[in-house]
Amino acid sequence: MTGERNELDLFAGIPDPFAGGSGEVAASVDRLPAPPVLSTVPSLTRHDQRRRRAVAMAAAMAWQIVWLVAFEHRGDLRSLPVVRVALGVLVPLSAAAIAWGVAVRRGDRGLGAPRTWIAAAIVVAPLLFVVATLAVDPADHDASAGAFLNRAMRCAGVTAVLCAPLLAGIVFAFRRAFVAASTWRTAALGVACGAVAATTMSLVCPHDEAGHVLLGHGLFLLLGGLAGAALGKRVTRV
Amino acid sequence: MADVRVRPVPAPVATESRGSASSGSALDALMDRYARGDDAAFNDLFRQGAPRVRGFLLRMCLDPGYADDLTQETFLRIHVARGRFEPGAAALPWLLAVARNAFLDSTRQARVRRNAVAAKVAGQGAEPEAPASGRGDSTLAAREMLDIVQATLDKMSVTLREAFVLLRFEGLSVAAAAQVLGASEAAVKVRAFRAYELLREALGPEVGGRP
Repeated sequence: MTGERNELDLFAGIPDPFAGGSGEVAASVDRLPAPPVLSTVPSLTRHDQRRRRAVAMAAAMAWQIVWLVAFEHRGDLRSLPVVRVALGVLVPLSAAAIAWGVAVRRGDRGLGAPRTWIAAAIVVAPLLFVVATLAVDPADHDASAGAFLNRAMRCAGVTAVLCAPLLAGIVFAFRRAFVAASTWRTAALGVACGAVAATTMSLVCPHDEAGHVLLGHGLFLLLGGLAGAALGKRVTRV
Repeated sequence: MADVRVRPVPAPVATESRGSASSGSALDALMDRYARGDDAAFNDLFRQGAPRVRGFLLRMCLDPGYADDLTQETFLRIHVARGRFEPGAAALPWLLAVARNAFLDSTRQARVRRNAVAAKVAGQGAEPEAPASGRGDSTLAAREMLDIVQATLDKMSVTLREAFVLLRFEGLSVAAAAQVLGASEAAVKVRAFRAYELLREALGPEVGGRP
């Protein structure tokens, strides 16, 4: 801190064109027109925000469960080794947890995690998914390129259906939530949503080949991140 | 919700000097109360926070009228997003970050207006705030120096200006400024020192504090 202060003390040589002490600035504030009647502007308290976030998360999770129960899940789920199922679920969930945790982290001053952390999480979460997918890649592949593409496109479509409402709900819950680094933090939320959708897909799709899982299931970690980044400045920034 | 029309009253400014954790506690407590839903806290929050917010915005946009508008916009955003203020967080960096967003959005939406304001300010020979009489900076040399600083701040990029303003004029630590700007600490230091070099160059070798 002393070193930092010494460095920044150099700046003291630059005069402030708007100096005049706090009294002058305060006097200027006194001349400000009265703010609008704020009671007409919707404003959620901390309690309201928590409730909205909880509802959005519950709805998002419910959507994943509804899909598994009502629409489809892999038929060989009960015959699969527990370790394989656990890996298929835990790895993308861990990726989601990393990205989510950094995105919603309070930070030292309530301004969120440092941007370098968020950037690291956005890289590490998909990387974890890729490494784990490659590590459990089964040896017996269906070599047909046409079949591979068809399956991958179908799974990508299902993943999109799982991921899009999730991302929409989460982004809505975090509307006007991020004061700083909103683009990065919303991108991390997008990665987390993509990872949750990939988790659900691991229980939906019976194909475990790495190429298929990466393209059909994991692509939305990337696309979710990009969508989140695009929405950051428009929706989640205060 | 209660009608919180405000009649602002001047108040002492809460300062967060580098490394100080407790000086902004009154502002922190007010913001915390307001985030919890206590509408009555807004008046005091505005009274204590607006001078700092306006000071920052004034140094960013270099135009008092524009800074007033942006201060209003900032407090409107604070009102809308108050529930997002974390318990126990420091209010000043949070307020300044919202103010920065308001400034950036405003400049993006109205670059033409920004240019017009800059031209007006430059054309009027830099008339930021009427200096208090007898304050000692009314001599011609001092006035010229301040004009040079203002013109140089105006010419430099927003990223350099905001880093320098937060560190030099708002007294934030590098870590706090980095979080307000959503940048790494190293990046903030580099930007601030670039701004400092530009200012020092404009002011000449005898001014600027280089040892």
